[in-house]
Amino acid sequence: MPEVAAVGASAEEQFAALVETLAADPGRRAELCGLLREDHAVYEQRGTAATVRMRGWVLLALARGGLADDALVYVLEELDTGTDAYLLAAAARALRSYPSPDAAFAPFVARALARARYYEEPVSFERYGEYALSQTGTSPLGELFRTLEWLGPRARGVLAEVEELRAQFGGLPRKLRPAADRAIESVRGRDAAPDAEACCTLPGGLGGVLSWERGSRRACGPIEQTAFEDQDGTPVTFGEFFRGRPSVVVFFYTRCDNPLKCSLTITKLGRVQKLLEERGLAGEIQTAAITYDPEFDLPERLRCYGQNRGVRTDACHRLLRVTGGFEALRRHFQLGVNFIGSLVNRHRIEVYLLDEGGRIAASFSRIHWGEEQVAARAAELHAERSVGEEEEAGPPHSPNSPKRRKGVPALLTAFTSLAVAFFPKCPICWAAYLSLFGIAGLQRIPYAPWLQPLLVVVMLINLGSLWLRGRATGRMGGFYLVGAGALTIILSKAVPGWGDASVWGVVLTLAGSLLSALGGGFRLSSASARR
Amino acid sequence: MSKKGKSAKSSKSARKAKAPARRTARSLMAVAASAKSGVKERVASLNEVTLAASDQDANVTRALDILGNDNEPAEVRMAALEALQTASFSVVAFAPVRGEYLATLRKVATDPNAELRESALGVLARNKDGFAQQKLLEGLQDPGKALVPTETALSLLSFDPHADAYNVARRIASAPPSDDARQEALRLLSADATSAPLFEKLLLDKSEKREVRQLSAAALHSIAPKKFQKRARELVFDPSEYPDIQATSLAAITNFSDPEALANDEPLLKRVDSLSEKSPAKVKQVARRFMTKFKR
Amino acid sequence: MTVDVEIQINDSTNPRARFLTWAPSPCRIRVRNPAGITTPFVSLKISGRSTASGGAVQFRAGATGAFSDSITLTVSASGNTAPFFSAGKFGRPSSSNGDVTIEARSGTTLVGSVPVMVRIRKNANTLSAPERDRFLEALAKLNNQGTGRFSDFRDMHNASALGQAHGAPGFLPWHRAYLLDLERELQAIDPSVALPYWRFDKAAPNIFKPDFMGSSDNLGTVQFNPGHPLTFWKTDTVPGIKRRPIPAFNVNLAPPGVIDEAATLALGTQYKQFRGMEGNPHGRAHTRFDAISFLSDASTAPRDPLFFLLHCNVDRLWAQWQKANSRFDQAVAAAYDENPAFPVGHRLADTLWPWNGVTSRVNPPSAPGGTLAPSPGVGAPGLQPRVRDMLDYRGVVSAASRMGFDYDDVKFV
Repeated sequence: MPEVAAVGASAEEQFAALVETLAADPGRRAELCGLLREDHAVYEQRGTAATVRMRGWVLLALARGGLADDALVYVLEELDTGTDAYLLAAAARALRSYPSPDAAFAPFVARALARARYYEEPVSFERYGEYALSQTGTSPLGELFRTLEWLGPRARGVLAEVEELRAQFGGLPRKLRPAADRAIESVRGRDAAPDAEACCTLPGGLGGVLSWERGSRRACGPIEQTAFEDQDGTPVTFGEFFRGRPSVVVFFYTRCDNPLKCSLTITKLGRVQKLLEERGLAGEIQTAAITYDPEFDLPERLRCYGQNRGVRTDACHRLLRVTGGFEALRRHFQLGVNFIGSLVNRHRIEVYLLDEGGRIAASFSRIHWGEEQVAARAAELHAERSVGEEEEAGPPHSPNSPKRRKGVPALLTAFTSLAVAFFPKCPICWAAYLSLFGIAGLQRIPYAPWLQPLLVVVMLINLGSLWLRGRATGRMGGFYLVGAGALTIILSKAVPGWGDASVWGVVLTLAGSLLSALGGGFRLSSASARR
Repeated sequence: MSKKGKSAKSSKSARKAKAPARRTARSLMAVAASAKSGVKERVASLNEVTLAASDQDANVTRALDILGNDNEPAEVRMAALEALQTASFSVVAFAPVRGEYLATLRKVATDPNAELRESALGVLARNKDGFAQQKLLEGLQDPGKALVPTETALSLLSFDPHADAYNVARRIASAPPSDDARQEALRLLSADATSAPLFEKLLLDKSEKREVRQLSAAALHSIAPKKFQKRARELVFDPSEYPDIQATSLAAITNFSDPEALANDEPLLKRVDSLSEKSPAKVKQVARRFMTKFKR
Repeated sequence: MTVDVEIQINDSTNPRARFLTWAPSPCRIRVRNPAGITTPFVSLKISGRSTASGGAVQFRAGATGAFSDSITLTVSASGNTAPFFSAGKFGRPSSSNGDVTIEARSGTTLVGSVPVMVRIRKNANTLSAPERDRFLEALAKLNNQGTGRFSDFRDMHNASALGQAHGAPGFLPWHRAYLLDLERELQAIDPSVALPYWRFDKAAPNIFKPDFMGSSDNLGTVQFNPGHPLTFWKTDTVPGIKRRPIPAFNVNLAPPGVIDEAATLALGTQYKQFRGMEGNPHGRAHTRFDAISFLSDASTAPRDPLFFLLHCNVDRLWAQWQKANSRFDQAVAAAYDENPAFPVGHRLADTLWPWNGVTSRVNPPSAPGGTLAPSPGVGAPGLQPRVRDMLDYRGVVSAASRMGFDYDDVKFV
């Protein structure tokens, strides 16, 4: 990690060297893949062309070592929406290094082929940052055809498209026709076409969607006061706008020159609005498009951009620019974006669903999202809220009420975890800690005996709230761990010679509290985990 | 005037009759590609030829060969570049040729001939080519590597707001090698939201060149419209302001201000009314346009 | 109280529909107030009254037949409408809105009138100063600093979209729709505006002056007079226009290397031959500007407003050719180059992107700007035109295809 951080402000050559180092070490593949994250420090203050050269080089390094699941999403994203020849070609090459061809890749390759003809140019993969000065190197179309050939009969589903492209007027450079023919022949193949079912499931659980259950959603507290201005220049804070109703949130900026990203995202947001309208939810579910480029995207610009792409705007549906605190917003959403000056150099596609408390309930990123899917998921969120309201009005203490899950016990859990983590453990475990850290000679340090009953009370409150929470979420792991921890601590005090076991008690208590508070309800359904 | 044009003119009366006899693209390219033909004749052929814009067409390959061959005379290569650039407007048909065209242009971008270099870099820059941007930026950072004059490089980099040129433009704007370079650097920065204070300062500086102040007006209007409207109003009231700047300011107010707010701005209406009666001709003209638009 | 009649231009009472071209517009007249009429019918004389330099109109009673300066209609006193047709008199276009009036008289008494405009696309080089300024102001307003509706016209012509519009037979129909959409947006701002054209085969010095499309300085930055509406022109976030003629092109003369109108029309009587004009004169006209100029590359060309004047001339040449060869009917093979191998958007039955809103594998991913702007006066070519809808722009084959534009030098009959 230190090496990755160090390269942040250094030259591209150093970056290339770093990529080589990481690629040569199988143990550091995750770091190599991590370099594809847009928000990585290495891309700070890099121009767009530099970002392209850097990402391309990472893709090529991944291609040499064989593409693994963690990097697959980046490769497919590039094929899906990329418009840069170098990156398209590198992504096509990287995909071929995946352990086995998969039918689900074929539509990505076909889409990239249809687009690449307008971005076709020779590229050179020989040295870092090199541009091809002649036709002798490779090219996006060349790489894509080879990848198609690799897919073979598994790409049967896109055969017609590719044949059409081959036959079309002005379709392919003459030099590429043999490559196209080889690919088509390989796709036709002799084997029977694989199961059609397989075509729509991406390997590695790549659905592009992440969901958080109610209890595990991060509160919007840190950005509650973040100030925005909408398309009409009306000021509004995050809390004012996003609390009260669920919302669909997309990120974009008007200077984006990839028509498959921002322009399309906003066009699709307009379609989501229509779908919500059809479900009678236009006034129940809000939509917001937030710009990455608040300095440039003034209200007038936002309004026109939305209008021209069929987005409706009113009190519930707005295009927003941050007027203070963009960094906080960026951190909260962990936006997949980086900048040179105030200008975006690269970003992913990202769409979020917020619940009525402004908490992130689901996110869609990188791979194209479907309007239906987002509208349906937003409707679910709305329903979840309606259920919550009904139950709130119903009998008290209903054990599975969603409101209870996030009410007082949740706060208690958070508080007591912190208390247990920081306050009580200090007097109990000073000795253990100090011995752990190797501070010589201090086997035992006296502590204030008055703390003992207080500690027991805190421990019991923590246990109680975890039990409630565990019942509500159906995940009791945290409760059991903390219980075991409490027992260990008590035993360490009660049983002579067990004194050293108190450290394990603290560890167990901590782990259990953390599991319950943070991880207990976390469900991961995508490889593009948010770090 | 091309030969085609002249011959056609003479047969104007017979418009519906047969097309006038023209040399085929093939025969024209045969002349253009032949070292035996004179330079003038080759250039004339290339100026006349219409390339089919497809790589099925041997003529296109010939034109590419001429363009990329540094043993050919520069005039002939320029003419080949123009013929190819014309063909590139047929985007669909040209798509198969595009890759080779761009690769050839990258080669030509570093040619000893300045006109060829500039033309090649021009086409590449407008297509947001990373190679061209890299070369242009290198040249701005290290004049020894410059392929085109500073102002041209800045102007070509301005085709792509993502070209990473703001920093170098800022540096050049603060210590410009020439007036031209400064102007182009400022023009490039006029899309940079963080440069608003710079443009505000230049706009208000009466000792600045007229062009620079005009450019600053456009830039400020673009990146900080509210601030500009406020400044423009002040400039209209300033009795010592130059007529050019006053006319520009007033035009911006006329065209881009909120009409309702204007209609209620008594002092401004009065001021413009008096300018429409008595002021230099250019100001008067704009003031009158303002009055026809907003007079009640 | 006296008799009062209502005159409907383009069968509409909407003042925004009171625009005529050389092609006949359907009109109606009816008695709104029959005060003093004792007979079931009244005889009304319809004629035009022009101001000194105003447009002139002509009339006929039916869908066919010769036009005359006035007609007399027998109109029911009960308020039923009577149809007639009116058209601009070739060679006498209007120069401002309402500079010609259509009047109805009963005997010598004026009983009704409407101001109309013979709105025609004219040669930019000879445009009057007010016409020029109205056009420039509307264009500046539409662009509104690069944020307005104009940015869609940019987006429609950018790299990903160019395949829809160039290098195949759809080139001319697509650009006709593109210009018409733009012109209608300009007319929504100022209805008296028609797109002017740049005759790039002739000297057009006035276009390149600082009071019109601007003059280029040594850096290729276009300079305007102080207060010129395009001073604040901005596209792709960058203010200003880059345009520098190649050394061989003196803007006071015709650009070299561009074939002239006669040669263009002589390219052939088949559309397949004629569409070769995409290279020369069209492409050559673009490349009469050098490497730093917006105009000389397809991906940046619409950033220069001169682009629309250039393309207006390309469309005019097509109109001339259509007229010379009777090529308005999509059913006539020579009127188009139909081939199933051409990409989507280039075959007669295909709808045109982006107005069709289709975003798919074969189309660009988004369709900016929505449907084609409608006109208050005419229905064609519809909100989502097909290639074939763009041919019969003046309603030669079917009156309903009329699109409401015409060129000052392309006669109707």
